[in-house]
Amino acid sequence: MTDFGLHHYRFKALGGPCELRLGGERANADRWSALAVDLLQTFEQRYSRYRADSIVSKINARAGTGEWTHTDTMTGALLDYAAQAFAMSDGLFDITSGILRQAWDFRSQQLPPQAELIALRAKIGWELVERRADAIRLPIEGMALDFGGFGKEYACDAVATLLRQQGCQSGFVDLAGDIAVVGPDPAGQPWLVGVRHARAPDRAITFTGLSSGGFATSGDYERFMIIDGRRYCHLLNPMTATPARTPASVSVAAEACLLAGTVCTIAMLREDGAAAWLDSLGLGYCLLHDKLAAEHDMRTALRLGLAVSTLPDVDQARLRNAFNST
Amino acid sequence: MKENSSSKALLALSAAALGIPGLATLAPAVSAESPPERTTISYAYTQYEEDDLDASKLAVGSRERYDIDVHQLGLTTALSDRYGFAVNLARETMSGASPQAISADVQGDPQVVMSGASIEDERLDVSSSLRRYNEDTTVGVNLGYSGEDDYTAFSGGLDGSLTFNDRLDTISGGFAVSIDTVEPTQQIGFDRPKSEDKDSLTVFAGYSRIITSVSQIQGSLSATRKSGYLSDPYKLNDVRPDERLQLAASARYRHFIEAADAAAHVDYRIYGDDWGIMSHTLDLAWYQNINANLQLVPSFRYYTQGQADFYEPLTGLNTSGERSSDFRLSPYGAVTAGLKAIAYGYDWKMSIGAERYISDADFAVESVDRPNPALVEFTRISIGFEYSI
Repeated sequence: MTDFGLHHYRFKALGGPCELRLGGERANADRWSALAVDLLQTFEQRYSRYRADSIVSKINARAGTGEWTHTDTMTGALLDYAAQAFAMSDGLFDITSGILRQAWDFRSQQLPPQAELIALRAKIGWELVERRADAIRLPIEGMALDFGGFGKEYACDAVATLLRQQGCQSGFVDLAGDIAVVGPDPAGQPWLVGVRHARAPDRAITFTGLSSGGFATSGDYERFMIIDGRRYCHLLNPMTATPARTPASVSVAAEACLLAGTVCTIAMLREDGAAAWLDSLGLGYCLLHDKLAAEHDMRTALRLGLAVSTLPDVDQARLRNAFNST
Repeated sequence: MKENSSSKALLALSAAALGIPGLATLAPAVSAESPPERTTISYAYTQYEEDDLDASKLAVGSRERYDIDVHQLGLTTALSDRYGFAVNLARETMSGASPQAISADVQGDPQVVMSGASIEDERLDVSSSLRRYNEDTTVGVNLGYSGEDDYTAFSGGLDGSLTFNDRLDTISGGFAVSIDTVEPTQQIGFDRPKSEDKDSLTVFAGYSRIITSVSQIQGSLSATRKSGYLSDPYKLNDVRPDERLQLAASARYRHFIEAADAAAHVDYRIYGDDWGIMSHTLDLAWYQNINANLQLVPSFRYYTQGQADFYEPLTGLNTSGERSSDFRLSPYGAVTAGLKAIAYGYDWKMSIGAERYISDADFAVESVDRPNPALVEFTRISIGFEYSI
């Protein structure tokens, strides 16, 4: 008997929990999920900085040697994207800033020595990276690229695209909170996606409906430490080599998960300028300030201009007012 | 929503995202066929040098065979976002003597009768093409002229291509015509024609398919019909049919081997004509990436052919009917070994290569009773430079 329905798959990939929800026949969904796992593994092999044979490791290993590393079409396009994000963020989104993790250990409960930060700062700067049509090199020894800031989001979109190409019409891909929609739910309705509560991350502070595109959240709760009452989170400003004073979280809906993720990250790094900048983009977003998040107050926090009517247990009038008040 | 620099930046970011493979279905935009993005000028120099004829194979004349120097200039550019244009110029300088006949020595072994004095000639070749690029198709037209002291050729052609199945498959086809005139240099004692014409028509079709992200196959068929004066006026007693129908089929395979960072090229071609010649060509090449800027390409070719029906190993002096003792119509085989280095920069490309060609009746697949002593061996050295603006 044909088994139509909604099928659930959970597994680990790219260092985090992944979830697929796929509508259709069971046999097809099983095949699609296997393809998704395969794609994610291939992606990890090629771009993980933890793997010595990845292209990212190759580029990094040659930093300062003067040697060029050949970049294929896909890597070149990912680098072009990173360059565009760097320009759009006035240098805040910088894929060479990952080396700051060497100094910032959020489990240590200690601030790194200033000298270490100064030394690392000298090796950061996308503008220093030398590129040719099909090759790249890093001019300084110890300099490194890190695709961690956008690779997972891209992979999420790539899986959704692959599943669509394979004939899947209903479903979504969730890579540890980064979401790409394959197609609306089996009834043709938007998926209901929860926005994480920044101070109680296992709970949703609100919901939004998604029929297409992608959704991503960046929060100060992912990796952080609190020293002398100040929160130091994993979003590091490449200019100061220290954690940005970010909002508690930013969630964005965009035409692709990759775009949504990049916009979230840049917004967080823009600190107090986040809301104004997000407004200027015209994308649906939800920004939670530390204080607001703590108070559960969504009235001024919510800017998600999306399918509000599908929210079940929230005061819809209040939400609409919040949205329209801007 | 107001148009401002932020939303423009978002559009730019979105465009960059669309450039990444795997996100293409974000938008309906398909990458259409497009003319070359950059203007490229190229120059190449080739030195072709045939080995001197072995003294034991010479009946009379000069041992020195052909040397050819070729200078080529090329330009490729886009005229608009729909039209591409290319023009190529080549100038060849030839010198040396050429085989005129095959005679027998006292033992009856064949020997070559060479022209006495060295021939000096120049050839100028001009060709140009214009191509229109549409969504899934391209259409091209080309014109060419080639002129030497004793030879003039005008050629032209039309061709097209169609890509489908997500741009994985491409079919192409076209035709070409050439109208040639030969006006042989006269020499006392030789009965050479004053002026003769020949023309040819070629039709061809091809299919190529990208099988995986690292492999591609291509197949093609072509047919050529030549008519008119097809003999060699500089050879003694060379009388060939005034028509020739040539058919060829070829298959090519390209495979990129990630572990070796190299691409293997394997090509095979089979050819047959109504003069009775049948040939096989196998080409093998290995494109080894040394680093992002350097590629080394060793290559090997094997060729074998059977003789033309009217080929005669010794030039008959008083025979009638169709006949020729041209070594190119004789049964033989040949091997070519080559090595090429290609260096790439962001806007330039340089190549240097050398090739050694040896032909011998013993290399033929079939066994040959009387090898043609005029079979050639040559060395070819070429350098090339390309610059894109």
